Amino acid sequence: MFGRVESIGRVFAEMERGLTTYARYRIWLFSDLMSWPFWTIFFFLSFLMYSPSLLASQYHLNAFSWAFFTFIFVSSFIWSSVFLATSAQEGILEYVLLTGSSVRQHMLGRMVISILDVAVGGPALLLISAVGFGTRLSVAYPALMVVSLAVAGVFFYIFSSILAVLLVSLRSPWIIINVAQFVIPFTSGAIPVEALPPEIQGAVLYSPFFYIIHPIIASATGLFFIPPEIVLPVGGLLCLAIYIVGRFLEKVLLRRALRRGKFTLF
Amino acid sequence: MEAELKVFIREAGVFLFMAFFPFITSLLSYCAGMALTGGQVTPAQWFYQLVGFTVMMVAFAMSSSSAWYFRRGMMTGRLEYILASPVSPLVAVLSSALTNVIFNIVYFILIASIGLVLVYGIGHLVNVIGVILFLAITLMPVIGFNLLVGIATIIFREPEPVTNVINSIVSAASGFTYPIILLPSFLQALGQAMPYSYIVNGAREILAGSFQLAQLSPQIFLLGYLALGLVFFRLGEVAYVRKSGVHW
Repeated sequence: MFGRVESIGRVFAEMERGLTTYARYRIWLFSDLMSWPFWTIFFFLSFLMYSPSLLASQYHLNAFSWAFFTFIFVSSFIWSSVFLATSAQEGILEYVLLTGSSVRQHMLGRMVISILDVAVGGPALLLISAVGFGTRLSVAYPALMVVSLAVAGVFFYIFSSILAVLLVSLRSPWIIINVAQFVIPFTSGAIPVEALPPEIQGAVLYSPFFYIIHPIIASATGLFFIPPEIVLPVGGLLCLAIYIVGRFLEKVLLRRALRRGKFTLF
Repeated sequence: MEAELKVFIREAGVFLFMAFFPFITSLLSYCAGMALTGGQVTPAQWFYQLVGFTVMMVAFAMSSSSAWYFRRGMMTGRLEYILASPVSPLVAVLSSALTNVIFNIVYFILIASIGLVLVYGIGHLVNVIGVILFLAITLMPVIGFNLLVGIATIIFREPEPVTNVINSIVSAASGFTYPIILLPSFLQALGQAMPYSYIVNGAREILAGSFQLAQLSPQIFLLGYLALGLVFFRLGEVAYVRKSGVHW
């Protein structure tokens, strides 16, 4: 019982740390709000350069708005993976783990910032899409959208913790994250799967991220490539699977840290 | 410049990422284009975006390294050691900027050559020589532009928010990956007031073998950025010395 209370206390302490960090760097919020309109224009036109006539198609504008929303979502979460490497470099991680806290708990503070980034950046992007490009935004299945976002939130929190453990000893972990933030969403369902050629549709199904990202897009467009009663439970199972992998990797990391005196899996 | 080159060599991972980024993003966009048009896209369109994404990375590398040069130099005290030597602060900063220019020309040539061979064949590789000369001239205004970025970093203290805003504006308005004509008129005007739209369009035309010397004329106007950067650098230095008692 006491252990559980202590654990909840650590969770709240991490969340408070995240909120404090966010509040201290208000320039970041200003920077995000300033830059999102321009990034939205850039992404829209880069993709639609091949077919500018699609700027007149409300279906494509809505689908692409949600595609860029998932990009912000994935990007905000996986950038938190840098946090563990920074924490280790600054010598904070050792002290935190000495308190009995886990890597996942320590990551929670950074996740608060990611969630706030999505909460601000996501609606800002949708608003810019509506105002700047005249998109009539719609969500075909609002309840499924809420469930999909919750599953995706849990998945990318655990996934980012795993990525953080894998990248903890790198000097420049941002190189991998910079690539991953584009590759993961845009190869795994962010681009509406029904718009892809059949051979690519088949390949996309093999990506585990598809079962997390596709429900967000499909809830908005109303076109589920795999029925929601299958794709959402698969997403839940994937969360469970990566949770088990995450716990295992964390144990390996700590064991190696004790043996070698430094945080690294390799 | 030797010191700056050594820093580049130490950060080999960054170079690797920079080398892959234009290929990854242009291929992703190409696949999206294939999906949206039912396969009605051409390799020439992919090359158009490859060149655009590469120039975009050059723009990012130059603005970010300028911002981080000041910030990291101040944080670690490295800048003070450099400035303690009998070297003018401007010489130290310009040495870093020139190293950056050389690095980015090499980077652009490498990526563009691969794309050129893949799309147009090995015969077009000779056009790359023209791009080297063109970039050596057109990246000069960018040095001045990035001196302004460095000064903004000192004012706002954090390099990432400053570069995030500048990079987003530059990316959206410069026509890196789409024709500037698709933008609203005020963004077209903004893009034409910055150096990058001339760089990316000029590089594309040289690679295609259709460049006209008259296209260099905006460079005279854009050199104003170099002058502006130098003036603001000097003003900033004077203000900083007055406030802190030391150089930058």
